[in-house]
Amino acid sequence: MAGENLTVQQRAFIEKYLSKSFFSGKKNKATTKAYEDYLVVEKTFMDAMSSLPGEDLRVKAIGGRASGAMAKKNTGDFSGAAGDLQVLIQETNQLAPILQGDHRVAVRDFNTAMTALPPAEPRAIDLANRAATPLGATALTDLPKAAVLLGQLEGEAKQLALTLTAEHGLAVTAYQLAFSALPPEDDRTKSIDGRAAGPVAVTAPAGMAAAIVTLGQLEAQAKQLALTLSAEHGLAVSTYEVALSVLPPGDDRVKSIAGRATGPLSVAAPVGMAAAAVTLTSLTDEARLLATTIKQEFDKAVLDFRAVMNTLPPAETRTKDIEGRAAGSLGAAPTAYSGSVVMLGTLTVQAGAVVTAIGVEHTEAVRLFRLAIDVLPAADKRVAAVATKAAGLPEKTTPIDRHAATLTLTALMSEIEAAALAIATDKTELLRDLAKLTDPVGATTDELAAMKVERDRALAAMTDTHPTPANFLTARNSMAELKSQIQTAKSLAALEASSPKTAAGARDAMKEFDAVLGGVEVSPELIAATRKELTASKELLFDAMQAMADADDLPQDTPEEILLRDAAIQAAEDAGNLEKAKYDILEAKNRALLGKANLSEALTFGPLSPGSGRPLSDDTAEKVVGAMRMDPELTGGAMALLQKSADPDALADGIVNLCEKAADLFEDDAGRSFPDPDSARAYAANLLKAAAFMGGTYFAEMDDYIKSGRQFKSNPLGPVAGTYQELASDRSKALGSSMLAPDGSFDPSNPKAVNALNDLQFNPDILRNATPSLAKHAKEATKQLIDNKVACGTIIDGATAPTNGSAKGLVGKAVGKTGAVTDEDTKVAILGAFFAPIDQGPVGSCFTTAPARRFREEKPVDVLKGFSDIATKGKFKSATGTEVPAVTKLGPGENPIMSSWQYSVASAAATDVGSRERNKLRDTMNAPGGNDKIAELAGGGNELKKKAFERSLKMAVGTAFNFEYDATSTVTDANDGSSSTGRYQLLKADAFGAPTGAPIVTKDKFVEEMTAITLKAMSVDATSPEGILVIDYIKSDAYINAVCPGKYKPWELPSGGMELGPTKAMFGGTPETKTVLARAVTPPIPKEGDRTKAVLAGLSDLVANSTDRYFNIGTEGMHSFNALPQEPARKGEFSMKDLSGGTSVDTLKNIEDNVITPGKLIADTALPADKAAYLFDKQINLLIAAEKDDAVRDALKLAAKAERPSADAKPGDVQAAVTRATDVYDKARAKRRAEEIRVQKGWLDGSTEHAKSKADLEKAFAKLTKDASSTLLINELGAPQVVMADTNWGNERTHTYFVAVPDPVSGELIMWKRTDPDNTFSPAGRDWVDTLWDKTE
Amino acid sequence: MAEEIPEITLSFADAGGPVVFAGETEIASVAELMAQMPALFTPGLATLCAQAVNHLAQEQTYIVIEDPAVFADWYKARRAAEDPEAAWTPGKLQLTNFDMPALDAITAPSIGAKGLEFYAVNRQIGAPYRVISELEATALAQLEYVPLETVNG
Repeated sequence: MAGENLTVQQRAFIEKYLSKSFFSGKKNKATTKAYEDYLVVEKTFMDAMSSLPGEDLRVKAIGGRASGAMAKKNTGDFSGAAGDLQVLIQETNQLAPILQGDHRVAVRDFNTAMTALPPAEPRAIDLANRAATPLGATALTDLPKAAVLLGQLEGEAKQLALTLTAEHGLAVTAYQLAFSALPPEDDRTKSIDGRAAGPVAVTAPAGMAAAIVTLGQLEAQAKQLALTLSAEHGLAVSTYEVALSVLPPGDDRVKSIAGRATGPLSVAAPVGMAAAAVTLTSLTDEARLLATTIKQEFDKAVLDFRAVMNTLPPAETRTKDIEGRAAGSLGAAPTAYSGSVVMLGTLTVQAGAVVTAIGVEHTEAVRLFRLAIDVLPAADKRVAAVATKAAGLPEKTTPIDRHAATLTLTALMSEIEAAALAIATDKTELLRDLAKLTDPVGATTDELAAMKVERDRALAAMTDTHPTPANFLTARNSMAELKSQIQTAKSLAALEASSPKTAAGARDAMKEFDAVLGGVEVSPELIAATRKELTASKELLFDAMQAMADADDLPQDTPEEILLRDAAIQAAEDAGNLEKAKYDILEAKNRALLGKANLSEALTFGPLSPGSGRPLSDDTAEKVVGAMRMDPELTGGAMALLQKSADPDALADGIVNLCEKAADLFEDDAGRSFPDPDSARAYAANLLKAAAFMGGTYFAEMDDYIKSGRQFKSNPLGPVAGTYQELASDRSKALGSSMLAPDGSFDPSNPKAVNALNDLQFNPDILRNATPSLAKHAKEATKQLIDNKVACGTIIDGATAPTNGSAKGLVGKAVGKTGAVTDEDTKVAILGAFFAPIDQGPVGSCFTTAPARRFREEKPVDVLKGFSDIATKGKFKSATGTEVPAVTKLGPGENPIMSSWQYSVASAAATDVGSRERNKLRDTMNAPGGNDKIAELAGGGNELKKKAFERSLKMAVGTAFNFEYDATSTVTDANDGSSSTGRYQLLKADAFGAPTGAPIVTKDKFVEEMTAITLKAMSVDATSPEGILVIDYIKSDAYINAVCPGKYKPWELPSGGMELGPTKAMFGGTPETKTVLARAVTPPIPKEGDRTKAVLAGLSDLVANSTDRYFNIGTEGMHSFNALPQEPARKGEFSMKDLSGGTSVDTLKNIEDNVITPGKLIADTALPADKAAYLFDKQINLLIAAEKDDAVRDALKLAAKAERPSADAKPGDVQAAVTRATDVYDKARAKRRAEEIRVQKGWLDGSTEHAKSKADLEKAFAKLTKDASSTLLINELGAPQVVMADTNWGNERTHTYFVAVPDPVSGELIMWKRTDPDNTFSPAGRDWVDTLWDKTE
Repeated sequence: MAEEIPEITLSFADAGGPVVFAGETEIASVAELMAQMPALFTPGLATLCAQAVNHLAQEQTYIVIEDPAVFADWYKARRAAEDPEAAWTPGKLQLTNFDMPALDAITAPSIGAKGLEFYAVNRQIGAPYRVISELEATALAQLEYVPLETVNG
């Protein structure tokens, strides 16, 4: 409906006039139409007016005139009102273009003003921003206001242009002010100036804003440049000042620089700073250059100074003084260099003066030194030592050397004085010692004359105040010779009483030697030198012989050739003769030297000496002296053999014999001989060694052998094998083979057999690798075969190649065959075994070996038969009829037949031993209260049952148990605390009777096993009433007391008795073991000497009536072996049989008188100092000779020097000295060996194993040394020996015996292990004598 | 049909010697045994016969091998268990002390044309033996225990 959008006035008007039905009817309708028209015009007017700015005055005027129209309307003249309004509407329509034109003008003016301004200038931008709205106004209502605003902004723009002009002027002024402070010549100044020209010249405001900015920047740069220039000047100043500060200020050159720097340094305005900085930089460079110059001047001064000072001895006072004064200058700061240069120059001159002074001082020192030393013998070692120290000192040229030389020479002056004094003292002492060498009582006229010659020679050598070393040497040589002559004369005088022939012979020999030597002192050095010369001469002799042979081979086809050949032969002959003459002289000298040395030693300390432990008879000693004249080298080497020989008289004969044969080069009946004396002598020495061991008729048989020429057979018993065991095996086989005649029959006397045995004893190749023990045994074996030729022949001739596998294997092994063996092989194997010594092998076979050695001695035919059975049947049959298969498990190197036989004997013995032990156990269990009681309990009153049970129990004991030997089982006797080792032990047996499980070694275990065995044997249930009764009973003390009433306990079977089985197996019968001497258990334990005496007495009494060579004895649980009743250790000493008296008291007295007392005398008697030293040296020298490590050897030598006895000493003192001297050496040896073992075992250095090994080795080496000492003392001092037993221990080369010998150290009788042929002794240890000794018979 | 025989028990007399009880009859020799127990010497009782004869001859030194296979197994096993490198040791049973016996030759006890034949093992050394004897008192009383040949024979 119309009117909905009416204004407030219209609505009010309608309210007033229409709503109150002011108009109605037809009139009303016309009126209403007019009014409605009016309203349209009014609306158009109102609309036009509303588009015009009401504030505009012209608009206001139109509005005012519209009030008339309003008034008409209010009167209802709607048409008039509309007409008025129509006029006004036209006026309003005309007003719009006017308003728009005004606005355009304002816009134009504003834009014009703005174009003069710099568009980017902020204030211009602000104006533009503020103008944006009025500039963009389009509504009529806004235009008048926009035009007014634009006019205002136009004014501001113009004002801004003026402002900018003013600001530019200010900027130009500020810049120019800053610029004016800069040095115009500076490039940086110029650069700024250039860049400022444009901005300064700007005149239009539009460019001023940028110009102002640029000028501002340039102004800032100008100011900054001013600061930079100032800084640069400051830097130049400080650099200059630094450079100048290191210069000595007093130096004129420095002053000049400083003067020139004053101006530039004082410049304060930037405008002058650039030039000042340049000047300062230049002066700085100058200052620096000057510093270098001054430093060079200083360095040169130092160098000049040092050059002189370095020639001076630094520690010298004058040097130190100058050095002290130079210290300040040398360490001067650069600012003081100039002054230091002057000072150092002065000091350098002073140092030069010191050089001159030192030269003068040196010359004077040399002069004084020469004056002092030239009066002394230059060859004196002390003088020589001083001279050596002074060597080169006089020739020194530099001040340092000269000053040092001066000091040394000055110091040596006191040494020269000391040397002079020492020479004088030596002379005094020598003359004093010479005075002590007085003529001995009993010396012959010749001896005294010879002594006078030496004494006079010594005195003559001592006439100078300071005798030369040559003088001393002459004197000492003469004194040594004199001493030797005195000793020899003394010995000979002493010997004359007991051995006149020997003494006479020795005197002749000495004369003979002296005649060759002409009084030259015999010394080891001279002997060695002469031997060397002799060897060289021999080589030249061979060369001459070769030359002769070469000459002889020259052609002789023409007379000229013949002449040339003859001449060559003659020349070679001449040369040879010349050399031969030299050789003969040397040979004679060598012989005389050795003869005199060896005879002197033999007379002084050896077997010919009055103090010899085992003096030789006059006849024997005479022979030895004779031999010494014939071949002193060979005879000298035999002295040690003589001292320990069992039969020295026989050996002495042999020495003479061998000297003769060696001289003849062992010529045979066919005229063949050894090529030279040395090889003949070496052969003779080996024969002597063999003879000393073999004894008997050795030399007589040897004579035939030498005549036969077999000494020229090379390796007659086969090639030399790799080991001695293999060698012995080969030799035994060769000997066995030799027993067969060409037709294969047994013939122990056939030439081949004789030769083989002789070869073994005498052939040089054999003796070079001697098997003395085998030889001795072979000789005995041969005799046995010959003595039992028929019986042995039956066995050997009947032996055929075996069919038994074991036998074939053993024979094959014995003869070195792997395939089929022949009859001859079998015979050779049997006989070879017969020639092999029965020694205890590496396994503990003593219980068989001991009776076997006796069996071998007493029943050789049975042994041969046993060997034959092994070789032909692979079986051994004991004397009790037990046959066992041949044992084939053998150790390396063992003789297959012999060892198999020995072990098979043990197997057969085991069968008997098993039976014996079973019977004993069964008897024990059958004792009243044993099986019978058990059967009764199990039988429950049933007699039949009881009987049946008893029968079963008797069997069960033997079935359920067996026995094995344990060599290590030790049981301690609860009664006396003694222990025994080595016994059979009870074990359970398996289904085939073989021992099984662990040994039963406790009572509880025995009860447990017995209970099980008993119940099983009776088939009684353990839980049944009978079973419970049985179990309780066996556990009870009543049962054990019943079955073990004595010492026999099944869980601790008695020790010993092991030898019974083998004895029975070989000898048959019922051998028994009986106690010879109970174990030493009762406190107080006797001293070892007393216990040994008791053992020796017990054995001596035991064998008193024995005619046997061997007597089976044993040390319980330790060893089984054979007493040797009739075997004296050496000729003239006692066998056990000799010692046995009618009663044990007599026997003990014999032992005391003949063994202990002489032994104690040896131990208690002090040896003369020289003999003590001789014994000490003898052992130490052997160790020194054997030691390869220089350091260890030197340490030993040093220790020996300190410990060598110098006064009379008992044997114990000598041994103690040796022990002390060798302590370090033995430890070094132990350390070395322990290290070898450590590496071999892969132990860590210092590990427990390593440490233990070292400790053990230290003990072992110390023991070795002590044993060697004891051996030496026993042999040298002749301690009486009694052979107690053959140990079974040995091999093809050695054999060991138990001997009773008083310890030369303690005098106590102790048991030793003596190993032949070297006669080495080692204490057996008191365990051996303390144990129970028994015999088997 | 075999004759009935009393129970045979091996044992020892009070005096210590080996005896055989035939029922309550104590027999101390082979001759007695043959006289009193002839039926024992028949093929069917060869093992019992061998045990009795072995006992009277050697007491408990040897054990009669009843079953050769069982023995061979035992022997081989025990031998194999030994250390072949172990040295011969006195008083210790080691089968390797000897070459390998011909175990195949062992048979169970028998009584035949050659008489009584059996094999036995020595308790102390473990070696097997062959025993053969005519059925005659003297021969049986002196039984010979012969070590078995070795296999490499």
